[in-house]
Amino acid sequence: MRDAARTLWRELRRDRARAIVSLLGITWGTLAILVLLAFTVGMEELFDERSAGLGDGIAIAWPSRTSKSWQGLPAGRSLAITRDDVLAAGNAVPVLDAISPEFRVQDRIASADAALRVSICGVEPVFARLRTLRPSPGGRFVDARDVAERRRVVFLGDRLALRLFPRGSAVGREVRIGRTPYLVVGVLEQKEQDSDYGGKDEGLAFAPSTTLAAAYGRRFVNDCVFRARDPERQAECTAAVVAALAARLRFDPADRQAVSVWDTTEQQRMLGWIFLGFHVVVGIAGAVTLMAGAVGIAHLMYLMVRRRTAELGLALAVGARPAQLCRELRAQTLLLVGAGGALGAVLAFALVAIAGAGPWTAETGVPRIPLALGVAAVLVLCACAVAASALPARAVSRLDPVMALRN
Amino acid sequence: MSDRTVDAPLVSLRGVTKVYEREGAPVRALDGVDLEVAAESYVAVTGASGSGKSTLLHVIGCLDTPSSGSYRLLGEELASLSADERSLRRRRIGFVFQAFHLAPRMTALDNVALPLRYAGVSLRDRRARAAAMLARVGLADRSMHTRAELSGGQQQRVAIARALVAKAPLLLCDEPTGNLDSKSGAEIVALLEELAAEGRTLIVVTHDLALAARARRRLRMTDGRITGDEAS
Ligand SMILES: Nc1ncnc2c1ncn2[C@@H]1O[C@H](COP(=O)(O)OP(=O)(O)OP(=O)(O)O)[C@@H](O)[C@H]1O
Ligand SMILES: [Mg+2]
Repeated sequence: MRDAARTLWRELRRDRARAIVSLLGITWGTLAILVLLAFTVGMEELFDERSAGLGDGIAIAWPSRTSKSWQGLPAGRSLAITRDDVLAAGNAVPVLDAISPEFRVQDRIASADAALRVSICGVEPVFARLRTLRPSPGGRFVDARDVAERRRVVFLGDRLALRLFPRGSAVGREVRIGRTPYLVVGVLEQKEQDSDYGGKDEGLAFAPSTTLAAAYGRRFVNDCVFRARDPERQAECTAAVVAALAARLRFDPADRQAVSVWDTTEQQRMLGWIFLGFHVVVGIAGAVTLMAGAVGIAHLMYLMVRRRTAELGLALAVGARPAQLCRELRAQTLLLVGAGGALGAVLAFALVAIAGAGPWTAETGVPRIPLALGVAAVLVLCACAVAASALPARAVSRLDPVMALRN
Repeated sequence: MSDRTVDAPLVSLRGVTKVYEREGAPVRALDGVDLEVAAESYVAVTGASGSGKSTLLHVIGCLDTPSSGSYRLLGEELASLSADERSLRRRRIGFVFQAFHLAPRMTALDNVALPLRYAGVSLRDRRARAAAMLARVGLADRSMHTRAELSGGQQQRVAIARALVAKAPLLLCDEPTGNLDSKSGAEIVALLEELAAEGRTLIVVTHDLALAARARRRLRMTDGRITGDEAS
């Protein structure tokens, strides 16, 4: 191996320009594959984060109007669902991860500095987990005791908090919703959110479901939000939740119009497919670039074999096995491809680090080279080395010592 | 191996022919050669240019395969071996080429060490053995010189050192003095005689009658056949 490396070095120095160009071909290919895919990975992660802003793998269900008659009840009945109905349906569905009813009211919210009209959501503590509502440090979301004791506490969207309390933290301060004072227990940590139903979370206020229902005399929820334990089984879970509600409220579980459901996993799945296609196309583009580099290396190695014909013939004559010479050649090719690839990888990591630090990442995502991509790049490089050494190795294995020495 | 016998001659050729194609016409470089060479012989091969001397040496040196006939080295049939196996057999044979064939960009030391490299000897060991062998041929002070920095006689001695370094029992020399002036030639003749006296088997192709006269057995080749075989 050391001998192979030394010979390679000696030969490369004889034709520096070609050696550098061939090496840079591999460097460029590696750089292309890593950087292009790093960007698509970063972008996919940004899209995932944005869609998780509404909730990771959730479905939202709104009660509507029945379209079929059922057990003597006529079609066209408006459904009204209570908080208890929702919680009971949740208990009846084992594949469910969590479910929360949601009341929505519009009212005036006021602090000492500002007053505006907003939507207030009355929800359970699990709502935070379902809808990715993380409190910024120093605050918390609505908890179980708040719900049990109908406390007048409120969790504010980050923009709303800023409007109400432009100076200083909102947590621990008091706001009025309508005429009633509420204690601010937490403020939403800023997040990406690409979709919503009735306003982005940054502008909403969240209170305990029980508090809000009592304050506004509401019995019936506006909607409920839930998620399956296994995102693959979201459709099954949705059907089970609808069936549980159907049993309690006596409508046909096959009545698709009675409850309208927005299953966000469908668009997440679609997004996954789109990005898979994107990765494949970009990966192929990078691989083609790398293959062009491999052709350059193959050519370089082939020229080297031709130039060293007499030397290789001599090696055969003094007892080198053709297989040994081929192995040396493969090691040399691997060394070359490895050096070019390593340089490409270093440049790619540097570029990705620089690109990940700029202000544009809000639109492009933070490019990232995941381990799997690194491993794949190494495998592709090895394949390139094997392919690049095939032709020159064949030339070596066909050498006849007497003929080789003659020229 | 079943076909190997204990008292087999070192080299044994039976009906060996070598036919080359040249512009469609066959050239019989070797034409039914029968030859046995015992261990520790010193054989000279003479003959006109084109009589097949180099071809014979290449077949014996396992560098070339006969078109037909049988070639046994130490009792083992070599005609049917693969390229890799023939390379391994070459490690038992030291070959000195008509044109020296030193690798141009290697030092004398590395040239001598070359056979050991492929036999898997470590760098340190092969440098030590190569240095000892260079000293043996009187070139201890030239070990770091490359081909361009050596005279023809010195190059030939490096080539002989290379053929000897792996302790091959059989040494084949193709015109070892052919490209040398008479003084360098005489040095090589003396060196070969020393090696023969040490008990090595030598087969030397030569035009040089002085060199041929030193051998203990002289073969004559004509048109690919052995037409003379005399001992002294
Ligand atoms: N590779 C080859 N292809 C075709 N013909 C060949 C080849 N090698 C040798 N020959 C022919 O075989 C014959 C014997 O060649 P060889 O080299 O053995 O002769 P030689 O006795 O060594 O001659 P010299 O004394 O000139 O070195 C010659 O006619 C030569 O032209
Ligand atoms: Mg000849």
